[in-house]
Amino acid sequence: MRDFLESAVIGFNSFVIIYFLALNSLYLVIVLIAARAQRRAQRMSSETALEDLFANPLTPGVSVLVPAYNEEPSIVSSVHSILDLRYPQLEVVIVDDGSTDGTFDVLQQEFELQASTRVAAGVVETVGTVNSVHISRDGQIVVIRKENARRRGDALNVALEYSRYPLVCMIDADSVLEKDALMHVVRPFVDDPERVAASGGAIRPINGCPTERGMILEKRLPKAWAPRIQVVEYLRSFLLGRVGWSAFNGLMIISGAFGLFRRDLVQQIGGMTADSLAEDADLVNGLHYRLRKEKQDYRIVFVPHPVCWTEVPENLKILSRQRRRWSHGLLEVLWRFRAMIANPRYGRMGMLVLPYYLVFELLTPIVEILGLICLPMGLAFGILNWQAAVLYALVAIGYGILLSVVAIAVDDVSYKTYRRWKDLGILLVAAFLENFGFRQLHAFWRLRGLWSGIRGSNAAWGEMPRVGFKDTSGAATN
Amino acid sequence: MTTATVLLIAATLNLVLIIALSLSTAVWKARRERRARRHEEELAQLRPVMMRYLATWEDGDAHDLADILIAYRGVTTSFEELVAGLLPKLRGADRSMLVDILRRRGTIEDARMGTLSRLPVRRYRAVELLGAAGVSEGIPEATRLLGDRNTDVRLAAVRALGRIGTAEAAAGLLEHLDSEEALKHPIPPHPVTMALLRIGTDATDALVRSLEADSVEVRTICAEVLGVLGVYPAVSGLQVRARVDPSVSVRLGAAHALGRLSMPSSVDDLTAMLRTEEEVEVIAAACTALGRIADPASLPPLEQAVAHEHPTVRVAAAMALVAFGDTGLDRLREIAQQDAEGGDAAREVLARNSIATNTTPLISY
Repeated sequence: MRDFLESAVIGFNSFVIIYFLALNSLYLVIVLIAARAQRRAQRMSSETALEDLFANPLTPGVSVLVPAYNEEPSIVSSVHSILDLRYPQLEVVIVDDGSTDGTFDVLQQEFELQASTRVAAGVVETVGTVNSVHISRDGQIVVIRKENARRRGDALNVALEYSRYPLVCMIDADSVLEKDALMHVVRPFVDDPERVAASGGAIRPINGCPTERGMILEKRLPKAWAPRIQVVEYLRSFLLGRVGWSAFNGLMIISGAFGLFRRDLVQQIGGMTADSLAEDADLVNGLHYRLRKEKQDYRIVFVPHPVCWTEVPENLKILSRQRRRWSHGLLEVLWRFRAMIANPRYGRMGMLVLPYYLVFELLTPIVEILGLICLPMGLAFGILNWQAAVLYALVAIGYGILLSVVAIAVDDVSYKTYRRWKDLGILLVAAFLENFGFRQLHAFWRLRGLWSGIRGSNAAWGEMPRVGFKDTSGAATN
Repeated sequence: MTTATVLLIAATLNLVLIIALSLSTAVWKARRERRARRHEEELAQLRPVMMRYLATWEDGDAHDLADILIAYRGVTTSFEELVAGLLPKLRGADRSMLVDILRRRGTIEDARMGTLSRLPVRRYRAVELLGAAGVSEGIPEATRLLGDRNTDVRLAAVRALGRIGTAEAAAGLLEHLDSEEALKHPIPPHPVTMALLRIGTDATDALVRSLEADSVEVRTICAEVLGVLGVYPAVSGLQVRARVDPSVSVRLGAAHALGRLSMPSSVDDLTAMLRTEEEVEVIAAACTALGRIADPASLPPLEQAVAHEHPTVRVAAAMALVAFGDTGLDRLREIAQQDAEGGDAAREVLARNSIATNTTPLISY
């Protein structure tokens, strides 16, 4: 019996090590592909192209869709940030999804909204009843008040129904955008109009950055370690990871915080899946599914410029809720699009991207938690000695840190977002600290999310309490 | 080799790589900051010389300054880098003088040679410079690069031709787009429209000629650009395109252009489009165009279009009626009271109009 237990524990620990070596090596390859793509893009970047985009009267208009549920602290700032964008033709369609706070009141007061009416496209199904429509004097801002259907996807579908321009930009109500954000994400559409179906922008945590009227004055790191660690995570996964996947048209997720889509294509797939917890990933995969099925030549592009800043959870309770929702959402998406997995008909998406997300994203918390259980078990039963246990842990953790350091290095060389020396030091320390406590908690949260997904429990999109931005103008942003 | 030894080697290797990469990043950052400081210092020295030159060359006593600029060799800042930032801001003779300095430094010739480089980055930079300088001797090089295998280089060549801005550049651009080579290495229409708009009236002849081009893309581009440029002699050609062109995008571009040109002679063709056209976007564009022309003859067909089955057309037609002033608004109010199709669009447009003009809405919603 002991022999069996011994070989089981050693065998599983070896499996865990191989699994994490494979996971981190794959990610390292993706990050290196991203670095190469980024270097090339930087060497052939052109300010003139952006100027031309702005000056051209034929540049396509963009409807910015903002679903808002209890966003009173940040909604005005966000709308100002959208209106201040440098873009020739845009409208903002905000859906107040049954907020119970003063979200609508602050909007009405700030933008002098008046009751109006608007014809819906009548293409996409929606759930929550629309109560009223309000517009600003210049017609650039449209606010739709509707009953809460407990789904962000439904709020976005309503916004889609009432939008008018050929491109729709979906953003979170607490997002703060760079001045040229829209120009950067629209550019792929005008440079390759036949093929580009969607483009996503790079998202960065805003915590710690002083802002004024929805504009970032200085890019700084957050004060607390939990959001600092999330900055490293965002660099590794949401920036370089996505640049890497995008390089071979394998982008599975465009963050709901900032993504641009062709309106007609979103309508063709029936809009967002209203009851999905990961409506952003669901939409992107819906596009992949349809366009690959129809054998169309298309591209879904990621724009690595830092274009969108969003508040990340500062307290662990909220972070835990967010990560559980992500994990649950990923399971939903993979289940919904299971027909694509390992199906050569769907090309790289079917044969590489979705299997990767299944094996190395969805199942990682199971392997990680089992590994965390097996290691002390092995020690307790004397199957593993301390030296071996420490070495196992060092290799697994060390490779993870190395990956984060590569991401920090690529970011510093390519984007130079954080100028202060202190920030570079903090990021390196955060890359180290992430592996002691945060990562294990993260695995646990994801496992819980996975479990709730398997049980099919009902989770809704709800408010994420905001700490608020540091607005130096003195305006109340929280 | 035991498992423990392998693990020990792997852990040590990780540690070494982490430290090495962290240090390299720090060194890179320090070098970048030092370089940025030196760059600023060099710019601070070079900028006043350049400004003095631009301020005094007309007096004819700036030969020394010109010699300094021609001989300038920076460590971190090239003369071309500084000029690339300045050129778009200069006009007329100042710009020509600066381009002359570039020519005498051999920069223009180098750029022309650079367009032949094996490296896409070099070809890209070379054609960007030719465009920024706006020198007509760059037209053959830029036209050749329209067929480059690298997309970024092709787009830079389009922008360069737009900035060089002559009839020859416009003709070269449109001829290339209508050729078979353009099918092999396609160029998106949006940058082309901007290039042609930059060229402006010099592009008119080539645009009118190309309304008959084989390529759908070229005809669409020409229709749209002719409308934006306000080329009235093109109206009859655009009316023909709106009537008979088999391509939806060309008919759409023609409808946009006819609206922009707002000639009453287009009313018949546009109202005919409301009856015969099947594409929603084109019908909506025809409604908008009729609103811009605001000819009383188009009131009845627009009223009918307010009851169209597609909301895009309904709203476009209702908005077009607003352009007719009180007559159009009265018709919209009548439609708004009805429960039939079109009432919703009429109510929306009336509400928007009353909010925009700060008047009391005459309907309830």
